[in-house]
Amino acid sequence: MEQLLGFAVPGVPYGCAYAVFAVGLVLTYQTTGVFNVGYGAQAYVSAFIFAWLVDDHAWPTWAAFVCAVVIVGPGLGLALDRFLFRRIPSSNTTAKIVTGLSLLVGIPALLPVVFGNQNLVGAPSIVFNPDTVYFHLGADVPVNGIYLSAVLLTVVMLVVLVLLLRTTRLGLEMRAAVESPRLLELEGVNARRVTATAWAVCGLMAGLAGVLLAPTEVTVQAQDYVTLMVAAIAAAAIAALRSMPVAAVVAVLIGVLSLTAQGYLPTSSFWYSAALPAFPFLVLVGALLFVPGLRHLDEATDPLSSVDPPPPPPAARVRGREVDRLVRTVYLALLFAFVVSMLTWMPPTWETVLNQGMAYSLVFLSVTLLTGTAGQLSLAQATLAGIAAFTAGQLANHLGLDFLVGGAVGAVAASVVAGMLALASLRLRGLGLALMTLAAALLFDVAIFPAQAVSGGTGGITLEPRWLPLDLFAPNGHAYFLVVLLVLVICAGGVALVQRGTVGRFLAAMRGSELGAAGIGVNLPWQRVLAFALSGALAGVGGALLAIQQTVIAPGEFNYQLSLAFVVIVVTTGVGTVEGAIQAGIGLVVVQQLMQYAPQRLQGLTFVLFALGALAYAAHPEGVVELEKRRWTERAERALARRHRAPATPAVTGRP
Amino acid sequence: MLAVRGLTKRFGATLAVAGVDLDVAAGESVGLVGPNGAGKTTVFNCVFGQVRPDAGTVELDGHDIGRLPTWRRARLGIGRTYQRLEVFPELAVRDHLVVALRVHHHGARLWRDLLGLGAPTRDELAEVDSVLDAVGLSDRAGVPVAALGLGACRLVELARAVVAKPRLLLADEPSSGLDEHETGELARLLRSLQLARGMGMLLVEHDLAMVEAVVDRVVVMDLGRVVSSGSFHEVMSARAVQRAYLGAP
Repeated sequence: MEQLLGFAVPGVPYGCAYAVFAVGLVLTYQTTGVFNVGYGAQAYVSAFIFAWLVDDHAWPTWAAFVCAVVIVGPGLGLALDRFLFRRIPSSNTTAKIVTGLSLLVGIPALLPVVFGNQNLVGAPSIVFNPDTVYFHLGADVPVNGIYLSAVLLTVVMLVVLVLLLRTTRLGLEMRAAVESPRLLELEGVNARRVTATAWAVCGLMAGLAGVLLAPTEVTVQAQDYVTLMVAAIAAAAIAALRSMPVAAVVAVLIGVLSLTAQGYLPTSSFWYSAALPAFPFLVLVGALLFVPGLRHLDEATDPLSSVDPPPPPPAARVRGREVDRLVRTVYLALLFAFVVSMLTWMPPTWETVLNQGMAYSLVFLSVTLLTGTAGQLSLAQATLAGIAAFTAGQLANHLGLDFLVGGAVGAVAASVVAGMLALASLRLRGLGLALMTLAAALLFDVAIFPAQAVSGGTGGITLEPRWLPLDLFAPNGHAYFLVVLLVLVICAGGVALVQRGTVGRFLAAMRGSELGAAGIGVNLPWQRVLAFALSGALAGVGGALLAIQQTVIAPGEFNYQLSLAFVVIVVTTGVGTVEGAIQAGIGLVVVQQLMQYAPQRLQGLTFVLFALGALAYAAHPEGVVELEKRRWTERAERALARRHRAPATPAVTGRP
Repeated sequence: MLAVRGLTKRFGATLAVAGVDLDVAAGESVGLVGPNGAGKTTVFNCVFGQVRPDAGTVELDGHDIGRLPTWRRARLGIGRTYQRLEVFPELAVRDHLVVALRVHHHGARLWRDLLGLGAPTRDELAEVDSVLDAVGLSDRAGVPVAALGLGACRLVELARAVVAKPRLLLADEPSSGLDEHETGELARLLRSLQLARGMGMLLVEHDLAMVEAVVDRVVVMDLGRVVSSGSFHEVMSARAVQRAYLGAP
C-alpha cells in the first residue's frame, strides 16, 4: 500500500494540471461553442507575463498576478472574441478549429518576438510554498505545496465554474448563446455581450491555470503548456465536452494511473517506453470511438444558422475565359522563368531553399485534396509524410533499395495508414475527426517513430549517397530539382484533374452536405477513405522527397506540431486550389530564408505571419492569397470589360 | 412499390412512431400529413435510412431495404428533398445534377478523372439540361447554388432528386419558407413531374392546399399513429383528423 501511494501521489499534480486544462476546454466549449485548442497558448501567455514581470522586472507577486491573470487573461479572451471567433459562423467547425490551431502555433512564436528570448526560471507560487512538506500520507509519502496547490486550484475552479454555469442567469445565457445567438437576441438579450463575457471568463481561467501551474516546472516553456493541452483533450473528450466534473476526474485518473504504471513497469520494457507515453492518446482514441456524444459535436443546433452567407468561390472558378487565358499564360511564363533560373543563375543557397519549398508543396497538396476538396480536417499530415520517409530509409538501409523506389513504397504505406485512419473514424466528423487524426499523430510521435526499428532511434536515419541512382546531393547538381519538379507537376496536375472530375464533384458534394450527398447515392464512407488514401499518398511522396533534402530522417522532423503548422500555412494561402498549396510551400521557405537576415528575436516570425494569415480564415475562408487573387481577377475583368466597350463608344465625342 | 409495416421508433421515453403501416404504389402520389410532432419526418427518415427503426419493415418492390444505408437506398431508386436545405453551396446548379446522374450511371472512376475523362458527356448534359428546363433553372445552370435564393434552391433540390429518374420521390415539406405564389408554382411542378415521369411520391406537407393539388391519397398521422387514410376530401372530413388538428370537441 505504501508503495502504491508512493507511486500514485506524485501523479496527482500532473492529473490536476490536466484537469485544470480539461475543465477549461469544456468550459470554453460549453460557453462559446469553440473547441479552443489555443487554450494552452492562452494559459502560457499569462504564465509568461507573470514570470517575466517577477523575474525580469522584480514586480511584487500580487501585482504581477493581477496584471497577468486579471488584466491580460480576460483581455486576451475578449480580443479573441472581438477580432476572431465572433466573425466565424456558428456552423463552421473547420474555421473554429483552424483559428484555434493558428493561436496554438502563433502565440508561442510571437512572445519571443515581442519580449525577446527569455529564460524564465522558477516562477513563484502564489498559494503554497512548493518546497514545504505540509504533511505525510501514510508513513512516508510527503505532500508538499505543489500537490496542495494543484488540488486546491482544481477543486475551487471546478466548484466555481459548475455553480456559474448551472445556477446563474449568466451561465444560462452563455449556454443559450452557444445554441443560437440570434434566438437569444430575439429574447431581448445582448448575445454579443454574453459571448464576450464568456470569453473573458475563459481567458481569466486560462490565465489562472497558467500562473498556478508555472511553479510546477523548472522554467516557463510553451512546450509544457501544449503537452498539457494534449493530455487534457483526452479527458475532455471522455466527458463528451459536456461535464466538467467528469473531465476533471478522468484527467486526475490519467495523471495518477500514468505515474503509478510508470512506477511498476520495468524501465527497459516496451510498455514503459512506448505504451505509457501513449496512454492519454489511447484514452482519446477510445473516447472518440466509444463516446456517442462526440459523433454529433458538429451538428448545427442553431435554427437560424442557414442565414449565414456562404463562402465565396475560388478565383479560378469566377474568372472569365479571357482572364483565365491571361492567368494561365502568366503562370506558364513564371514556370518557364523559374525553371530557367534554377538551372542557370540561381545561387546554391536559394536553389536548396526553393527545392525544399517544392517538396513542402507536395505535402501541402495532400491538405488541399483532403481539406480543400473533401472538407475533411486531418492533423496528421506530417506523420503520413514521416511514415513514407522512414519506410524509404529502412528499405534502403536493410534491403539496399533505391531511395526513390523506397519512397514510392513509403507513399503506398502512408496511403494505407491514412485509409485505415479514415476507416477507423467513419462515424466521426469535423472536430471528432480532427481529434482522431491528432491522436494518431501523437501516437506515432511518442510510440512508433522513436522506436529503433522505425527511425533508428532519436538520431534518425542518415541518408547515404549510394541509396540514390542520381547525383542528387551535389550542391551544383540539378538532378534533385528536376526530380521534384517532375513529381510536383504530375501530382499537382493529378489533383487538379481529380478536382474537376467525377471524384472531385463527389468530394465537393460531401463537403457541401453529407446528408444531401448520401441522399443522392454518394457512397460517403468510400469517398472519405479514398480522399484520405490519396491524401496520404501525396503526403508520403512529399515526405520522401523532403527526407532526401534534409539528408537525415529524424523523428522530430515529422511531429504533430508540424502537422498543425501545415494546416495553418495552407489555409493562409488558399486551401481550395492547387496553386494555394504551391504558394504555401514556396512561401514558407522563402519567408524562412528571408528571416535568416533578420535580427535573432525575429526568427520565429515566420509562423507568426502564417498564423496571422490563418486568423483571417474566419472572415475569408478561401485564404488571404486567394482573396487577393479574386480581387485582382475582378479588377482585370472590369478592365477587360471597359476595353471591350471602348470600340462601341463614338470616336467623335461632339466636343470641338 | 413501397410497403412499410409495423414501423416503430422511440426517442428515449417518447414514442415517435407506433406501428405505422404505409403503402405507396408505383406512380401513386401519397400525402403524409398531421400536426407537429405526429411522427411524419421520423417515418420519412426511417424509410430513407437516416434513422434506424426499433421495429417494423421497409420494403421496396418486395425487397427488404430496412438494413441498407441511405446511399444504397438512393441507388435503388429513392429520391429525396429536405425540409432544411441540403444543397452543395459551392457547386453550380448544373453540377448538382451531374453529380446525381453520375452516381446512378457511371459512379466515380479515379482513373477516368486522372486521364481527363471526368467532364460531363454530351448525353449527360442533354439529360441535365432537360430537367433544368423542366424546373425553370436553365438560365441559372452555371450559377453556384450559394448565390441563389431559397425558392431556387428548393428547385435545385427537386431537380437533383428527379434527374436520376427515381421510382419513388420523398418530398419533405417542399413549400417550407416559400410564399403562396411560389408554393402554388411548386405544387404544379411537382405534380407534372410526378405524372410525366411516372414516379411514386410520398409528400410530407403542412400546406393542405398544396397537398390537395399534388396527391392522389392522403395518410394522416397523429401522436405517432395513422389515424385516417383515403382521398383528400374523405380524410379532411373524418372526425379523427379534425380531432388531431383542432383538438377534442
